[in-house]
Amino acid sequence: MPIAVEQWFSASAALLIIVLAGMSESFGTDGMLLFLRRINRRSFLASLLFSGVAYAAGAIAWITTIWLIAQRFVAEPIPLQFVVQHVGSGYVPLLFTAFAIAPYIGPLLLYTLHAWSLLIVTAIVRQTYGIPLWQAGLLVGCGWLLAQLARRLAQRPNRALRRVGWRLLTGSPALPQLSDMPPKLALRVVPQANEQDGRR
Amino acid sequence: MSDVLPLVGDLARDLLTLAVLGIGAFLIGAFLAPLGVLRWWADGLSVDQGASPQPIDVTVQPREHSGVQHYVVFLGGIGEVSPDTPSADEQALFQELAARLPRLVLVHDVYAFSPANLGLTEEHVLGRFWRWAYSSKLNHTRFRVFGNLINLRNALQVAVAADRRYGPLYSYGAASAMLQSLVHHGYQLGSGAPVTLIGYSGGAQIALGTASLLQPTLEAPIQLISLGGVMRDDPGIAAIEQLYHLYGEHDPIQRSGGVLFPGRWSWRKNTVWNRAVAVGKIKFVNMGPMQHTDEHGYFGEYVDPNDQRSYLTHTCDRICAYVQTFSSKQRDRDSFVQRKE
Repeated sequence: MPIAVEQWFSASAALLIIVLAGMSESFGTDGMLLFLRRINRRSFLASLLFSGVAYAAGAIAWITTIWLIAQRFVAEPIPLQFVVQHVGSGYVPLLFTAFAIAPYIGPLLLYTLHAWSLLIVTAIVRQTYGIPLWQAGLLVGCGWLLAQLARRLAQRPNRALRRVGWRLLTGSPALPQLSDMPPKLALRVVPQANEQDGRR
Repeated sequence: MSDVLPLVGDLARDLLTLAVLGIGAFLIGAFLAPLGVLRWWADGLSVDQGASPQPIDVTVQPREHSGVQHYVVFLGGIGEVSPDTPSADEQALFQELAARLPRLVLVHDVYAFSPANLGLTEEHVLGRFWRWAYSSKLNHTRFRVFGNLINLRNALQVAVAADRRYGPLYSYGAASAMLQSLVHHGYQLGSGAPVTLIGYSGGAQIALGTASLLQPTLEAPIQLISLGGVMRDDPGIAAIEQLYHLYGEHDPIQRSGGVLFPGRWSWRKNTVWNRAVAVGKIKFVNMGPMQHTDEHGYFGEYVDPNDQRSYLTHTCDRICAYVQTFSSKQRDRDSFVQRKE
C-alpha cells in the first residue's frame, strides 16, 4: 500500500489535480484557437474550466474501468474513492501539458507527459493492488482501451454537450476546431500615391 | 582527496541547478514564443465567427527600376535584431552580389523573425532591452552573454514558423512583408520576373514557408538558395522551382535540420522533402570545410589556400551561378511561350 501517498493525498486533491491537468492541456492544445478568436479573459478561463471538468469526467471513467476490471478479475475489493485517490496522483505530470503550446516541441512534449503519466498510473495500480507489473500494465491498458471505446460511443452526445457549454460560456455559436486555422491566403497589392517605408 | 569530494559534489549540484534553470527558462521562452504571432494575427486581421480571413492589402509606393529582370530577397540568420542591422559579413555579400549582378535587385530590408516585420530594437516593451543586449554583444562588454538571448528568441521564432499550427500565420506575415518590399523595390506584379529567395540559417525556413503564398501572388517562378539553412519538410517546397542547399562540412547547425525534423529523415521516403530530393528539386551543394559563422563561415574572409579565394567569394560564385542559370532558364521559357503564341 502506498502509505506515503495516502497520507497527504486526498481524493478531492486528486480530483483537483485532474481538473487542473485538464485545464492545462486545454490551454496547451486549444489555447491558440481561443487567442485567435479574441475571446475575453473571463470566457477564456470559463472555457478552460469547462474543459477541465470534462477532462476529469473522462479520467474518472477510465479509473472506474480499471476499478471494475480489478474487482472482477484481479484482487480483493478496494473502494473506488481509494483508487481515484491513488490513480489521480498519476496525473501530476499532466499539469505541465500547457507547454504543448510551445512551437514544434509542444506536441512531442504532450505525448511524453502522457506516457510518463501512464507509467506512473501503472506503478501506482501495481502498488495499490499488490500485483505484478505486467498485470498492472494489462489492467491499465485494458482500462484505457475500454475507456476509449466508451469515449467513442459517447462522442456525439459529448460533442453536443461541449457545444452547449461553449455557447453558454463564450456566446460564440461554434466551438473552434484546428481546421479553423487560416487557409492559404491570397495577398492583394494596392499601390498608393503616398510614400511609405515598405514595412507594416 | 577527502577534501575534494565535497567540492565535486557541490559543483555537480550547482551544474544540475543551472541545467534545470536553463531548461526551465527555455520552456518558458518556448511557451511565450507563439504568443507574438497569435496576438499579431488576432490584432491585425478580422477572424470573425464563420468568416474567412480576408486577403491583406499591401499599400506601397513602387520604385522604378529599368531593365531589372530578377529579384532576390535575402533573409538573414538568427543573430539579427532588425533589418537595418545586417552583420558586416552580410553587407559584404550584398555588395559583392550587387557588383556582380547589376541587373538584379537585392531586397534585404525584411526582418524574418517577426511576422509584423518589426525589428526587435523597435519593439515597444522590450526594445530597449534588445538594443542593450545587441550593443553588449557587438562591443564585447562583460554582459555580452545576453546577446545570446537574441539568438534564442529568434531560434524559437524559427520553431514557430516550422510548426504546423502556427506556421501558416507566421508565413502569412513574412510573405506580406516580402511582397511589400518587393513592390517597394519596383517589382511589377504579373510581370513574371523570377524571384530568388536566399535564406541564411533560420531565415531559410522562413523563406521556404512563404513560398506557397508568394508564388501564386507573384505568378512568377521562385527559387530558394539556403545558406546553411535549417528547414523542415515544408509544403512550400511545392511552390518553388528549385532549392539549393549550400552547406559547409563543419557546420553542425545546418545538419541539425536533418535530425530535428522527422520529415527529412532519409528512411521516410514519402515526405514532401524526400520526394523533392528524389526528383532533384532539392540539391545539396557541398561548400567544403565551411562553418556556420565567423571567419570560416559562408560569408567569411578566410582565404582558401587551394584557389586563393575567400569563403565569401566562394559563396557568391555559387549564388551568382544559380541566379544566372535560373534567370536565363526563365528567359528561354518566356521566349518559347512567346514564339508558340
